[in-house]
Amino acid sequence: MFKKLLTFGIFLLVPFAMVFAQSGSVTGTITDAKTGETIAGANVYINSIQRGSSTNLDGEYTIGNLESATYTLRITYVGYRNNTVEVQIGSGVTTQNVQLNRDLIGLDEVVVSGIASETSKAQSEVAVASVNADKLTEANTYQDVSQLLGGKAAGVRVNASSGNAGSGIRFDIRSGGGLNGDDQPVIYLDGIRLDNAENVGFGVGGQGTSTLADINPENIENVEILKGPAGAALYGTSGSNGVVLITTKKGTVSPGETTLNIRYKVTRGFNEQREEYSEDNFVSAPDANAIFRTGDIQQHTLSASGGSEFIRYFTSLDLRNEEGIIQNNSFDRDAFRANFDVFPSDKVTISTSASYTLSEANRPQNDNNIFGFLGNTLLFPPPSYRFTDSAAVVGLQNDLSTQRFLGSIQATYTPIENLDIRGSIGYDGNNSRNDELKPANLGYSGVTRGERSFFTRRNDQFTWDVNGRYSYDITSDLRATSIVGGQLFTRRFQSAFFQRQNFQTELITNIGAGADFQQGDEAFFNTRELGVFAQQEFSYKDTYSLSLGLRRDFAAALGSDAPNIFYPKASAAIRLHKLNLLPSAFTFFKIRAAYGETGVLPGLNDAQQLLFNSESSGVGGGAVIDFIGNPNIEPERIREFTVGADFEIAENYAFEFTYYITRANDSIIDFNNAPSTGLTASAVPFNVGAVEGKGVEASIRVTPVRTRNFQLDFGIIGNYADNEVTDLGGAQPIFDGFDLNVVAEGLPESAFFVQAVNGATFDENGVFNGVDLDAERSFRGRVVPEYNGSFDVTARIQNLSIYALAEWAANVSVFNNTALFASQFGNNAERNNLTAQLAELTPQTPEYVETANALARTNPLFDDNYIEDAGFYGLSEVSVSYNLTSLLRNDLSASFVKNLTLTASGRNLLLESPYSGLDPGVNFSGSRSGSRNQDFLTLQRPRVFNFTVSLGL
Amino acid sequence: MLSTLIFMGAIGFYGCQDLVNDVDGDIDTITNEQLNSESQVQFLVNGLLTRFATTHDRLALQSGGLSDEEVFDQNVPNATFPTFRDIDDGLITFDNNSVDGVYNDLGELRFFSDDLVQRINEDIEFGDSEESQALRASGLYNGYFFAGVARYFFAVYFGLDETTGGGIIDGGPFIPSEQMFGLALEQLNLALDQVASDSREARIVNTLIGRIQLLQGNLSAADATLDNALEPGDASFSSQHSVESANEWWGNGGLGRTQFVADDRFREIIRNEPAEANRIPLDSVLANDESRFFFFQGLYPEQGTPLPFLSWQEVSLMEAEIDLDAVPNSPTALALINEVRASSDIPPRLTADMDDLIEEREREFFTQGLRLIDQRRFDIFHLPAGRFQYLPITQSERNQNENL
Repeated sequence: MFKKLLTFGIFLLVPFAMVFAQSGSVTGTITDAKTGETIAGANVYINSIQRGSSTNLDGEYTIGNLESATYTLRITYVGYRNNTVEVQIGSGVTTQNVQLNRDLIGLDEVVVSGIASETSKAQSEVAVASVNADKLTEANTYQDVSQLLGGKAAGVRVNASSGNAGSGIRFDIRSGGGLNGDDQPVIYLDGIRLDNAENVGFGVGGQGTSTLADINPENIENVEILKGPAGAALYGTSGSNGVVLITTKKGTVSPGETTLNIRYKVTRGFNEQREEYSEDNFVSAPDANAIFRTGDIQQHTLSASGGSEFIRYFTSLDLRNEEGIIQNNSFDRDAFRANFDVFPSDKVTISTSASYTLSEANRPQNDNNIFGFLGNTLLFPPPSYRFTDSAAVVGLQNDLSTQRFLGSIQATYTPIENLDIRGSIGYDGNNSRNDELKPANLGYSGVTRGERSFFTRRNDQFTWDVNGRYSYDITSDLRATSIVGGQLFTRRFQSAFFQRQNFQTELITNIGAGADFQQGDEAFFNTRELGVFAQQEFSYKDTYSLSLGLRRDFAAALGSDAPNIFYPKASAAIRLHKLNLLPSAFTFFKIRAAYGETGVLPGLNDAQQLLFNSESSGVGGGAVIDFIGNPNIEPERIREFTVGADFEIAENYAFEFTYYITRANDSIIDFNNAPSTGLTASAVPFNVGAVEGKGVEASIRVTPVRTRNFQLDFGIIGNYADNEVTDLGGAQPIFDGFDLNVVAEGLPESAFFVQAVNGATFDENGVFNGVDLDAERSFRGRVVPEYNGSFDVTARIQNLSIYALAEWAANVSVFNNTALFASQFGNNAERNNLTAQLAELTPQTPEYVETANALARTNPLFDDNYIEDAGFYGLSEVSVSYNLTSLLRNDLSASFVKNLTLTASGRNLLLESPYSGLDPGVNFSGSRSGSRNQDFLTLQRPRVFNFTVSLGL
Repeated sequence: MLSTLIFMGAIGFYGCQDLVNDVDGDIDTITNEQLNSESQVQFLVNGLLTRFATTHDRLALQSGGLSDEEVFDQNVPNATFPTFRDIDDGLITFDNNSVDGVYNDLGELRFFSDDLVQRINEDIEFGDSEESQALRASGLYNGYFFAGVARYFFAVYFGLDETTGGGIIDGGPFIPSEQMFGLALEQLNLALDQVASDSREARIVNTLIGRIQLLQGNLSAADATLDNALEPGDASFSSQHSVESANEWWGNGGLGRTQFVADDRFREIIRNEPAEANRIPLDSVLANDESRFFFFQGLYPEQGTPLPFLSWQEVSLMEAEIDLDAVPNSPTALALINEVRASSDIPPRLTADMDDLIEEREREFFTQGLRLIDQRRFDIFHLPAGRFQYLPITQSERNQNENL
């Protein structure tokens, strides 16, 4: 069989015979097929002789010095369908103008449709979300990837868990994978598997800092998201919640030319409080509003890119400083990047990607915290700062500094045509240090003489990939591609912390100056995962395609046999428009179906029977139980089936639709032992759980108007997602630490599950005497919206571009713990008013009953009273850009300017929600906790305004 | 296709498992089997002492809150735990987080002590040397002693409902207090077998045996036992704490964080008898609304201050109680009470009856976890009927234990 394949290969290697004669050239203009507008920057390339050119600002190209022959010109430009034309070159100049059609949903865009598998979107058998970051960052400025991706891709929600500058980031993809793991996708950047943890360090009340905050959106070319096991099966274990593939920018060259592009982008902007606290909700609202400030933002990005025939490069320096909307909060990031692609021969490509980032977050004490501004101004009626004096709140410093190196080298060897052998190694080195100082002579709940703490975290991870991909024709109509490969991932993690208290003087605060040791410890782990995979792809008449794949995974699970597991996948697509069965208005129509399996590994020690550690106490270290495991534990297995269609009508309307169902079983459920057994140090894992999910994601892109001077594009994304825990193997419902979010049979994952409050109870005289409470808990709301989506619009009027993104969500709830606690301490204005009103009313009157019922529904003893509808719609992004380039072209002194754009943009401009808190999108315990959609003294996400000048030379 | 699959198979089955398992192990844990060695006995004993400390201080604080000794008031700065409020009110839900924590710790204390005895008797091989045998005896003493302490804690602090005291061992059925006292005594007598009868260890065990016998109402037995219990001059047996294992009174009823404060009557006692401040030192904190001061215990000014569990003063007051039970206003009892008072430089009483004795106990054992027990046995519980007089056996036990 293999011999046969080689034969095909050798056949294909035979050079195409061309008859050469005299020298000539080809020239022409590339235009938009519909508007007639010229297209600058389009690539015109002749594959057979590996030569080409790109169009100038007037859309014109020329390729000279051609032997007389027939050539195939291939014209490509982002946002347009590729086009090929045959041209006969004789002596002299041949004119060949070419028109390009718009590519509404990027059908010709090459996407990664699986590991080592690349195809055009038009052929992909799974829905791959692709976000063109390069285009988005042209006008807009994003703090991090959550802002970059939010609302941009069907089936993908990306949220910052608070308004802290440098917050945690959580992805919710489709209906969620299984019950285990952190529910987060695995993220690769240029082949490097990223550390995507939330760095908590010394707790500041609940929020951690996402390690993704160190990724600079300005350097990203595009982001592709494989949304579930059907697409991600060959990524194996860890790919169960999808795979996010970030590709950074590369140098671009016009064929045959040496180029240098310099770009400088400067942004000045500010963060501000989006909505003020109201005295209708909090008696202390004026004190709470007084803590906010306008936080300055500035960012400078300088990049140089370009290349020649043998090398391409992209380098950038990026400096960003940002102040949060309250004191003691800022996030600064300095980063530089150098990417190189080297072509030492026509058979070898070597690419490197390297970046170094230094970031510093000054983290505020919000959320579940008595040392912060919100905790001291929102819970009590004035006077505020009862927990902690305002000087002490201001004085507390918590800084997280991070040094991060990301580097990868990828080599591609093409020994024969259509055979690519690739190897790559990626490294993510993440070194961070968290420093906290409670100054002496200020009061922090009993600590009055100062406290100094530091925490260090070091995470090193390597990703090794090797794969081979060979495409060949079995018959003239049947083309096949074979892929084999392997992937090794190693991670080594170390952390340590140390804390001392009591300084003699507030002037010296090094840790050694603290008189009394408080605590210190360290943590370490080392893991390895290895996967080997194979995939076979077939394409018949460029119309029918089929892929079959298999992956086998191995992983370290200390102390027992490594679990290994097979993951199969299969997918198929039919391009119906090729069959001529559809009305001609359907310029493209593809139906697709895919099935895949992945898994989630057990915890590192889950297979250990019983582990002890040493607990420090008044007698020194003592042996206590650390962990109780289960030697028979296996990975959770997650299966997904998707079916969908992509179609385009009259080139102006493009639709993408996907229906999916997921089933996870063997989910690891931790069973608590009865405490009287003494075996409560940890719950014991068993493979008994199951969860099912389903959903629909649909997107529409429309270009209703497109003329030379005016263009209007809009897109709509709509998602439906639901899941239900179907089996806990007899385990009791599993609650988060605050007894609200539950994993329980018959309910969506993490649903709110509490006893419902029905109103007031009255004694025999009709006097209000309590709360009518259900005896049993029931479902009271979900944490992932059942329906959500976005709407974006881009309008271009000559050189003026306007872009807006609106997002919405429905059927989602948030627990307003801030209001609950404010009620407990008499700071809930509504409850205070109801109490006063009730005292004036006569029992048994309708007003009395109504007021008593309302009062019962504010009773802070019952969580149900503060679980609120948190659907919303809002205007997330707006930008207005003016491109001055064409004006400058007429001015000779500025003719070297390739691009000059001025932009004003805003973020988080409007938000409407029935939720009584200020921001329904936040979570007090960060982005990884089992406590979800709980708002407890959590900082609202700010409104942001940016003003940007982008200059290209 | 076939060849690629064979290739895959070859990679897949050769060496992959070894490769992924070739990683560095944990630095902070060891397996159960690694503890089965003579060299690890002291480490295991320290585990018992560690868990005893985290159990005793939390039980003392929470039972103090449930009794009339301590008060939870949200007007106290930093008093925010609703679980403590519920304990103070005796309206405790089965899923009260604070009770959960200490109930889990008590479960571990019971398991660690029984487990240590089993390891020494069955799994650990000791050498024949005197040192090895002494280590064996010391291990057994500690195992049996804390096995007795754990059972005693179940009997006096936990209950199936508001008024039915008792506990559960190893997922078994509910054992009422009276029966649990018997199990505690069995273990404590085994502990006595491991030590010399005139040793400090024996006096410590006898003090607890005497206390249990008194609670059982077996006064004559208690009287005999207490003859061999802690004596004036003996140091108290206390739980040992450190900055990393802070005394709970410091952490939630004192300088560290003030959630529970002392009932106002203790402030009155000191106003009326200033010398009482020697055994009931109080610190003050201004209320949130600045309307008043609250007062909290000043006995444990540091995280590491030990918390007494058994003392010679208790032995004296138990003996006084036995005397007073036989002879109202017994002069011997008065002498015993005054000896205790003198140890804190407090002027003597002129007379003493049973009410005075109860008052003496309330003051002498302030924060030591005895007030709740006394309120029940002297029938002076301060909350209305229907409120909890014990910390309830937790929801997690009720969920997982088929016997409940």
